[in-house]
Order: sequence, then C-alpha cells, then structure tokens
Amino acid sequence: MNGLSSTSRFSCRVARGWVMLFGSSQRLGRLRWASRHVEQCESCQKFYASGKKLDALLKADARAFPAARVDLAEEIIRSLRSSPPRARVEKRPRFAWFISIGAVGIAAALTLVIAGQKKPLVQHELASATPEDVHQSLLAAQTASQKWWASVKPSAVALTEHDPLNEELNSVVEDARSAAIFLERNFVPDSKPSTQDSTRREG
Amino acid sequence: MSPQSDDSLLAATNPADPAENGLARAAKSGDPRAFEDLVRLHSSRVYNYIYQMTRHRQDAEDLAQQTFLKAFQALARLDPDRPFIAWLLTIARRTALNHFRGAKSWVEFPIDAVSREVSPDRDTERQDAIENLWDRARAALSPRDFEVLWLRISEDLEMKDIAQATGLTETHVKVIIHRARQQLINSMPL
Repeated sequence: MNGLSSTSRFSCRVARGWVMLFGSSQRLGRLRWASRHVEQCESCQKFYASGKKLDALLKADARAFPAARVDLAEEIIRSLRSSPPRARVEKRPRFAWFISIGAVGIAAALTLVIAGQKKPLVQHELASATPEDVHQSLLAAQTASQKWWASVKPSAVALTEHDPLNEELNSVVEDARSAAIFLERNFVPDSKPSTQDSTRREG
Repeated sequence: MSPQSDDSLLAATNPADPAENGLARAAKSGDPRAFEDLVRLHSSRVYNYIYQMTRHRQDAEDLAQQTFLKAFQALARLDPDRPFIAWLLTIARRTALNHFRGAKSWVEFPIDAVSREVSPDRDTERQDAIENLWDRARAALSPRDFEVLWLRISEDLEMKDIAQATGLTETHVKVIIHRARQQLINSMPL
C-alpha cells in the first residue's frame, strides 16, 4: 500500500467509503464506479482480505474471553423466581386517591345536572316526533349549558364580592372611629363657648 | 473477488432465530419457563458485553442480573420479531450506564486496580488481559468505537440493532465500524 500514490490512496478511501455506505448493489447506477474500483484495485482487495482476517480473529478472541460463572444463569433465574412477577408498579402521585375521588365526584355531579335536564330526543324517537317535539328538544339542549352557568354564576359573583380581609379591615376602622368619637365627646374640651357663658357676659 | 461492504464482510449475520422468537413470544404472553430458557441462552452474552465495557467481573455479574430482572419487568414492550439479544443488550447498556451515573461513556477500571482491590483471582484477570486482540482494539479505539465494534463482531448484531442499542444513527454506526476496522488493520500486523 505504501507504493501507491496519494491520489490513488484517496480514491481507494472514497470508493471504500461509498461501498461501506451504500453497499456494492448494482442498483446504484452512477455509483457503480466505486464497486468497479474496489473490484479492480489490488490495494482495496488486500484491505478487504485483511478485514475478513481481522473479523475472524476478533470473533475467535471474543469466544476465548473468560466466560461467566457457570451458575450465573441459575442465580438469575432464582432471583427472578423470588421476585414477584410484574413487580414494577406505576409510580403514582402522592394524593392520587384524593384526585381520583374528586374527579369521580365532579363527574357524578355533572351527570346529575345533565340527567336533571330535559332529555333531547334520541334517534328512534325522532321518527315519531312532531316538529314541536323537535323544537322543544333543541331548546332543552341549548339551554342546558346556559342553565348550568346560571346556577354557578351567582355563587361565583358572591365569592368575588365576599372578601373576608376587606370586611375585617372595615370593622377595625369602624371600631377606631367609634373610639375616637367617644374620646372626643367626653374628654376633649368644647371649643365653642357655651350658651350659659354668653348669657353671663351679657348680664 | 467481488466488492464487499463492511456489512457483508462478516460471514454470518444474526437474523432473529425462529426458535428464539417463539420463546420470546411465549415469555411475553406470560410463560416464565420460556423466559428462563432465554436467560440460560443469553446470560453469558450479556455478561460478556458488560464485562468488556466495565472490565470488572463482580459488576458485570450484578449488572447482568439486573438486566434480566428489568427485561422480565419490561416484557410487555418486547417486539418478538426482533432479535431478543439486541433488546437485551439495549437494556444491559442502559442499566450499566445508570449504574455508572455521571459517566458519559462506560467506566473502565484499570485492570491492576481492579485486581488489587476487589477481585480475589487477580492472576486470572491479569491473564485475561494479555494477548487478546480485543485488548489491543480497546487500546487503539475510543470506548464508543470499541463498543460498536464489539456489538457488530462479537454479538453479530445488525446495524439497525446496534444503532438502537447505542442511540446512534445507522449511518453513524456504519462509519464507526468502517473506521475502526481500518484503524485496526493499519495498527495490527495481520
């Protein structure tokens, strides 16, 4: 290989690269130059022969490696038998049971709300239904969501209006104001002259 | 001589063995005996693969055991039409990487340190390390290239199975094998 020019070494490498990536398939049309090169090039033939030899040696040496303990397989089997099958349990969130109960509760409530509504007509009833029935059924379906919202909305409004912190502050302010009025009335001297003083001065 | 791709250099590839596929199917459907047969068939291959990467007998045995336990628990995800060993080695690799968490690639112990500190049969391990082509390959190649070459040559895995086991693309695997082989041919008198 040392006797080869750098150009031919480069073309060998490129050809081997093509063959490695795309194989020596005849389907490759324009890439057949790589196959032809590898077939005719002495250096490439030598390379592939060395490759075969290397693989055979590596395979043989892999077999010569120290084997696992004779009883390794049996030990693994023993540990498999001692561990319960399908032991892996899906990891669930800590309060999964609480969340599931909540979800079931919400689902039940929604079911009750929906069941409480007037049922829309089902398909087999539609055949014998009058236009009036169909109209009523459509109205019932349309208003179901509106009714539900109407039942929820007042409590939502009340929730936004009911602010315990604000109420507490108001009551504190109210108490302070009452105390100030009490103090003002009983202990602060009156700045206006009383009616008795003015009559005395006149006399 | 007709031109050969690196893939075809290996005389025998390892297509999924029908008998093994049958065992895999039976194991997947809940037959514990079938899985035990698969353990007997493949325990030494799994051990060898992990031992090649860790160079530590005890670790390799422990990790091989963990691999089969994990495989047993994950049987529902097994594709019985693919070679069972490829699936097993994928699990083995992940198990070992988790074991050596933080290491980007396999942790390789210097053979002397291993022998002195842990293994009682120091002489045997020293003997194992001498005059084996794979040890020369280990010295010449990067750990990743070595691993890919081992899977291809020693385990006869298909390119796509190696790609899946190592998380590389199939083309990348082909390039690594080609380059590794070229490097070894140039560095070893054959």
